[in-house]
This record gives sequence, C-alpha cells and structure tokens, in this order.
Amino acid sequence: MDVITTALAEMLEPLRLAMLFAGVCAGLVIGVIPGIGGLFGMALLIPLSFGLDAYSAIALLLGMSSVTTTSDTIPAVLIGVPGTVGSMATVVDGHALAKRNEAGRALGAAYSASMLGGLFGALVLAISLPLLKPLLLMLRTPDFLAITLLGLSLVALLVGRDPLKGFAAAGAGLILSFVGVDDQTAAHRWTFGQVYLWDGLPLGALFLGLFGIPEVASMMSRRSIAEPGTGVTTGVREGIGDTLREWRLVLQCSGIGALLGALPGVGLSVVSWIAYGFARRRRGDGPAFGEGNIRGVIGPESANNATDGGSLIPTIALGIPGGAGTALLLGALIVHGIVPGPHMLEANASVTVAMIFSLAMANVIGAGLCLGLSRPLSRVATVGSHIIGPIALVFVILGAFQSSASVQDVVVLACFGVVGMLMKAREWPRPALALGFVLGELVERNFFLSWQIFGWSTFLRPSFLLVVLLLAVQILWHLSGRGRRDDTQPSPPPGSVWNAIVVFSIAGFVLLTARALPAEAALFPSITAVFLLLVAAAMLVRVLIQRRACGSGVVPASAAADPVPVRAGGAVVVGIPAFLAGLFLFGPLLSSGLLVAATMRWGGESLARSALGGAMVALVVHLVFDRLISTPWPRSLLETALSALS
Amino acid sequence: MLRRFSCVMVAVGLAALLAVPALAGETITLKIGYPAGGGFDLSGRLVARHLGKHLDGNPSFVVQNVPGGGSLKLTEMLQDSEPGDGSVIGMVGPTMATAPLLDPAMQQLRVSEFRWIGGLRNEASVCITGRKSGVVTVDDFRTGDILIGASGKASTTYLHAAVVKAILGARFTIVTGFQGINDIDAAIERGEIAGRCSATYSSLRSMGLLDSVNVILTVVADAATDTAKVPLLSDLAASQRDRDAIQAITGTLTFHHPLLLPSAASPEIVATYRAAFDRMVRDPAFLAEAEALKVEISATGGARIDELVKGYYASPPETIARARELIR
Repeated sequence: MDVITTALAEMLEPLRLAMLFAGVCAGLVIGVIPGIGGLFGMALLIPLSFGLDAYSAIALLLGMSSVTTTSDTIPAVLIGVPGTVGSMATVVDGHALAKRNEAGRALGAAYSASMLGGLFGALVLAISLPLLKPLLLMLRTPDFLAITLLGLSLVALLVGRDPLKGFAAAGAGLILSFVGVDDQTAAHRWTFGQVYLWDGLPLGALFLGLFGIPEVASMMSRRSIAEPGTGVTTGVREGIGDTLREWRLVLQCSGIGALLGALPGVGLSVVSWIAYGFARRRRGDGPAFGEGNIRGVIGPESANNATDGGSLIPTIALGIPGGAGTALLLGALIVHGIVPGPHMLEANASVTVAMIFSLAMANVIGAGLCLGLSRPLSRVATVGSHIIGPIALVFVILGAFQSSASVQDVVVLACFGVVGMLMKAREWPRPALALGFVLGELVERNFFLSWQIFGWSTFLRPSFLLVVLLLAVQILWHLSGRGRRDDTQPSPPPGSVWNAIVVFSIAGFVLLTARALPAEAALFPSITAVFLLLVAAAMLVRVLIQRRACGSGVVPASAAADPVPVRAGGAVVVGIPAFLAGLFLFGPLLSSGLLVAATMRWGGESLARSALGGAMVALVVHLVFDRLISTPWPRSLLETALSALS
Repeated sequence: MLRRFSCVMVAVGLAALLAVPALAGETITLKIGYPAGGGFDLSGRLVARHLGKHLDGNPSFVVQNVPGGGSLKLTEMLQDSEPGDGSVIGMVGPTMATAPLLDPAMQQLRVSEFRWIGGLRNEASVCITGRKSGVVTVDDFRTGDILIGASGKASTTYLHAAVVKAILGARFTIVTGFQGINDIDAAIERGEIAGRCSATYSSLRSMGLLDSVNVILTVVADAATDTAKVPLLSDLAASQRDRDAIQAITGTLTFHHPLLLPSAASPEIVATYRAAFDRMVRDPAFLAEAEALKVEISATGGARIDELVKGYYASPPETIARARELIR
C-alpha cells in the first residue's frame, strides 16, 4: 500500500502532471496525422526525456503513446482515412456513420470506448503482473500459432454478403503478406528485383490505398461527407450512451486487446481487425456492418487502447519488450537506471505503479480533450468536398510516403487505391483482405518456429487441439444454418464469371511462380493458392447454377452494386501521379498548396480563398512533415535549380 | 478587391517564407538505414546530438530513418544518388562492407568508393545459453542436441551461429524465423531453445545479465571478453584459412554502427568529417551521454576502416570460398 501512495504522490507533482499533459497533447497530434504513430512519437520524445527524472519521463512517454489510438479515430471517422494502423478497422463503420450524419455519435462512442479500453488495459496490467509472468513462461510457440489461427478464423465473420468473395479476398491478403525476403530460406518471394519489397509490402501505404483512397474518391463525388445542418455535431452523448449500453463488448474487446498485446509480434493492426471481427458476431439493433453499425466502432476502439497495457506486461515482468514501441520505452527506462525484470515488482514497484497510473490518466485526459473537441471537429463532415477532399488526398499521399520515404510508397498507394475502389464498387470485402494481410506472416512464422522446435507434437498441444475443436464446432454450426448472422442475406448476390477468372488468375500466377522457390518458402503461398483455386471453382459452379436457374426464371434480377464513382475515382487516381510530379518539380509544399488551391478554385471558391487555403495547407505540411518529422523528400528540380543559382 | 489582394499577398508571403528554410540547406541530415527503435537508431540519434558541435559553424542535425533490406537501400542511395556536399551522411550496417565479397548477388555495391567517417563501436559478439539449458561449456555446446535461435537467414544471429556450427562441427540445430533478438530471448527464457549467437557482450554486462546466462564462446573479441577469458572461436579453428574466413565474415563488427558520406563526397569533406568524428568520440559530454544510454563507445577512425576493408578484399580466393561455404 505504501508503494502505491508513494508512487501516486510522486506522479501528482505539478511538473509530472504537466509532462503527462504534454505527452498526451503530443500523442493526440501524432495520432491525427496519417502514416505516423506511437512508435514515431516515442523516437521523437525519448531524447527530450533524458533531461527529466524517471517519473516525469514515464509520464511524458506513456502519456504520448497511450493516446495516439484515441485521436487516430478523428480522421478515420470524419474523412475515412485512418490516423494510425490502430484505427483502420474503425474506418469501415465509423466513416459510414459520418456519411449518415452521425459523426458526433461515432466520435462520442469511439472516445468513450477508447477511454474504457485504456482503463481496462491499465487494470489488467495492474492485476495480472504478479500472475502473468508464470503464464507467459508456460506458453509455447505452438500456442501462439493456435492463437493466430483462431484470429484468422475470424475471416468467416468478415466475409460480408458473399462468403466466396470474402474468402477470396482473405486469400489474396495472405498472398500479399508473403511478399518479401523469406526468413526461413532467404528466398525472394515476388520482390521483382526491388530492394523496396525485401521487407514486404508496407502496411501503412497499402491500407491507406485500400481504405483511404476510395473514401477520398467517394467524398469527391458528393457535395460534402454529411448534409449540412442535419445534426452532425450532436449525438456525442448518444455515442457515449451506445458505449455504455455495449459494456459487454467493451470488456470483451478490451480483454482481447490487453491479452493479444502481451503476445510477441502481435501489433495494433492485428488487434483492431480481430476486435472488429469479434464485434461483427452480433449485429445488435443497428444497421448492417459496413453501413454504420456502432458496434464496429466500439469494438476496435476499446481493443486498441487496451493493447498498450498488454504490451507492457512482458516488458515489465520479463524485461523483454513485446514490440518496437516498448523496446524504445525500455531503452529510456534504462537511461534512468531502471532495469525492467523481476525488480519491477520489488525494488522498483513504485515505478511500475507510476506506469499504470500514467496509462490510466493519459487515457482519461486524452478522451476528455477529444470529447471536448468533437463538436467543432464533427463540423468537418459538412465542409464542402472540394475543400476537404484535396486536403485528405494530400495527407493520404504524404502519410503513405512515411512508410519508407520512397516514391514506391506512393506507387503502392496508387495501386491499392485502384484495387480498393474496384473492391468497394464490386462489393469485395476489404476487411477480409486486411485480416489476411496482417495475420499471414504471423501464422507462417509461428508455424515454422513450432515445426522446428516441436515437430509433429505441435499438433498435439492442448491449445492447438482446442482451436481445431472450436473451428470444427464453428463450421458445423454454420453448416447447420444456425450460425447465420443477421446481417448476411440468405442468398448471396448473383456472381460473375469474371470474379472466378480473377481469383483463378491470382492462384495460377502464385502456383506457377512458387515452383521456382525453395519448398519451405513455397509451402504457405501454395496452400493459399490451392484454397483460392477451390474458391474460384465454387464461384464458377455457382454462376453455372444461377444461369441455369435464371433460364428457368427462378432467380430474381441482380441488384445493382454500388455505382462506381468513375469521375471522382479517376480524378483521385490521376491526382496521385500529378502530385508526385509536383513533388519532383516543386517540392512537397508548393505541390500540396497547388493541389488544394486548384481543386478549391475548380469547386467554385474565389481565387483569394483558394490561394489562402493552399497556403494554409502548405504551412501545415511544412510544420508537420518538415519541422516535426523531417521527412526525407526527394530533391526537387526547383531546389536543385535554386541551389545551383546561390 | 482590397481584401482579395491582401489574401493573395498573405498566401504568397507564407509560401515564400516556407520555401526559404527548406531550400537553404542549413541543417545536415543523418540518414539511418534502419527503422526507429533499434540499436542503430539509438546510436544515430546520439551522434546527431553531438557531431554538429565539432563541425565548423556548428550545424544542427536532423535524423531520418530510411529502412529497407537491412540498410542495403540506404547504402545504394549513398553510393549512387545522395549529394556529396556534406549535407547528408548515413549510418548503415557494417556488413555492407563485405556484402559483395560474401554474396555474389551483391555485386552492385562498389565498396572501394565508400567514404567511411568512422565506426562507433567494437561489438564483441558471443554465443550464450540460458541458465536452465544445462549447456555450460564449449564441449556441451558442441556435442549437445540443442536448438539455437536465429532471426532471418541473412541476419548476424544466423550467420554467426552457422559459422560456429561449421567451425566446431557442432550438432546443434539453428531455428530460424524469430522476429528479432527479443523474441529469441523470450524463447530462451521459456526454455524452448537453448541459446543464441551474436549476443553483444557489452550489453549483457551493462544490463547486469552476465549472471543470468552462460557465456559460451566469443566470436568477435574485445578487451572485456579477453579479460573474462571466454574461449575464442578462432582459437578453436583447425587452420589459418578458417581463421581468415571467420575474420572476413565477422570482422566488420569491429567498426559497428559506422557513419559514411555519400560516394560523391570530395576528399576535403571526408577529411573534415573524419576529424570531427575523432573529436566527438573523445568529447566527455558525448561519452557521458553514451554511457547513460548504455552505448559502449570504442571508435574506429575512417582511415582505419579503409585499411580493414582493403584487407578483406585482398584475401586469397580460397579464403573467400571457405567463408562463403561457412555461411551457406
């Protein structure tokens, strides 16, 4: 008890509270900017923490890292562009709510869920520290494999109206996750001679393309995200009420976040998609998922804030960080003479209490600040799309560029932007692809590690058997028709023979090219490709059956898919290379400003307002990407010419 | 009309103001070939806070992480496209110096053109086992049917384990695919695997971990491993050719965390940076911060790195062939 009082007294000193507040403010700003997250913030703030005492350093660093996943919801809900990888799943229903004029409600629910999730994570950390060390030491690699397989099985909940398209998308996600240099054999899998692809496709650029670009295109095809004056800014309280009503979901998803956060290699992106899949098990009384169901916001938001608490468990208990962010924190603690490990519960117990306190307080302060800002912020949903659209596009492109500071990042963004728009228009579920992509590498890694360490006995571990049993029950449940979710339609929409051809081509390409790879490197891609072949065959059979039934007049005429925003989509896709050309000719500031000013002028704004808008955006880009992040831009022609003159 | 004009003027003024600092090149950029958060990032940011004090005009440094291919991407950028006017320097993996020698697929690197400024650390590298493993001596390590953890096949955790296995004729199996050193250490702690190679001796000492692991064998030595009388791998090698091959594979760790200028840099700029580096690594303020960060500084000057690298490339073909065989 003395330890707790001592730690609380230390943390409540004005300087430390000020540091906590400063950390929270920094974290909120970093969370809002697409492409950068808590890890970046940690690298930025750690040098500042050297001059502080240990408690103030903890307050600053944990204050920052705990709330990036609170404010990242703001761009996710308002413009459909995730602020960090933690809010990618929130986009799906959060932005749909904004389009239904319920931005305030979505933000209210997201912040309150974030806060409760963060508090729950801190609580789990506090309670479980003495208990979890023996449990963490009991777990073996096959158990991690079982957990990742269980996560992958959630694809079944993300497949949407047409399960075949969903499974095909998940398979494509898995294939994409295998791109890069294979750890087992050092073989290059689909890197096409590009060093850029050695480390795999960048998560940030890929997801900004898949989810951000289609939303920007859809935004540009409307006058604004929501209709002005229709209660956009109200509903914050209703959102909080939704979170409280869904307290079970909050607790369940916070638990998922805290537990998965403690496992090695499981990042925010995995946690939020798994929580989203979990939330989709039950529709509640809202609309279908993907159309603005509040559970789709509450689930991932409560999970991603709980992850921080979870990821600190192995760091504190074992002295082994769970991820890159906690590794940096560990380094900062060591500078202050605090060596994580068993001492954290003995001699350094007050430091541990201070960490838990910082985590909890930061979540409360962060959510409080965001709630205070949510009314004015949700007005963004009513700003004209000719203003907000180009601004969103600039930040999506510059955010994608942060993945590895390469022009190729923008190429990946553009390619997956097109894929994302096509998938959206043709009703292919992008969440299934996302889950496949984030889990593919983990499943493969844990399988090969288990196989090398345990051999066949991998499959006899109780955890593995339990997961197989659970999957069997799940399949039987669905086959018996009792597990059919209420947001799926009894009969899938009519398929097209082109869908089968696309899936068949992907599978064929992978199978043919995998023949040149060593057996271990080819194993998982080949299994996935065979699975895709089966899906393609099932699609083909279904088309044939439907055509025959159509001939006899049984099947109703097909419902039209979402119209493709061809003009806006084309403009956005052309906008990316145009911006890139501007980047090389004039540098990032002028090209950002010009893109925004030109689109505003084209949308009917006066020349002065357009120029002012462009200049403001250039200023923000400069402050954020030059001053704060110091992005390594390619040298522009203008810069070269000016330096030659001087 | 007046309002419109003033708006335009404000916009133009802002744009002009913004353009100036971005184009003036008043800061020096230190590019790090690895993502934020690792040992390279820590050392690189430490250098960025101190090197400017030892250059004329005390320029400030900004850090940019340019990860990709284990720093191959940045090495190629420094070789081919970065400006040689001293406005950019880089920190890459030291193994880039011998990459074309050991891997025929890396012939695009023109190592003789690399402009080394200096290396910060002499990274003594050892093989360790967990206390619970029961593997205490080199003989246990050689004869035991044990598992040794490694990350990717191109990583030093794998390369050093493979060299040790081949030189000792050891029976252990190398488990590849761990996500990094922390993952391997967690598996050792859980008792799933016995140990790993490519552990940094100075880190073990500064973290107070020497009592919680068994230090079996030194692959790259320094004064501390010599004092601790840890057996040295090259002493156990059967021939001089094997010793030379070990040196070609692991010797680059003697100039770990190296800084280099783009290949386009002139000899004058290289000399300026080398002198500044030499002053920095003797500066008490730099050394004090390094000590607080547990970064043990044991610097090698740029000219000495040039000599070492030339030595590797002067090795007889059979030594290189043996080195390639050891890490296959």
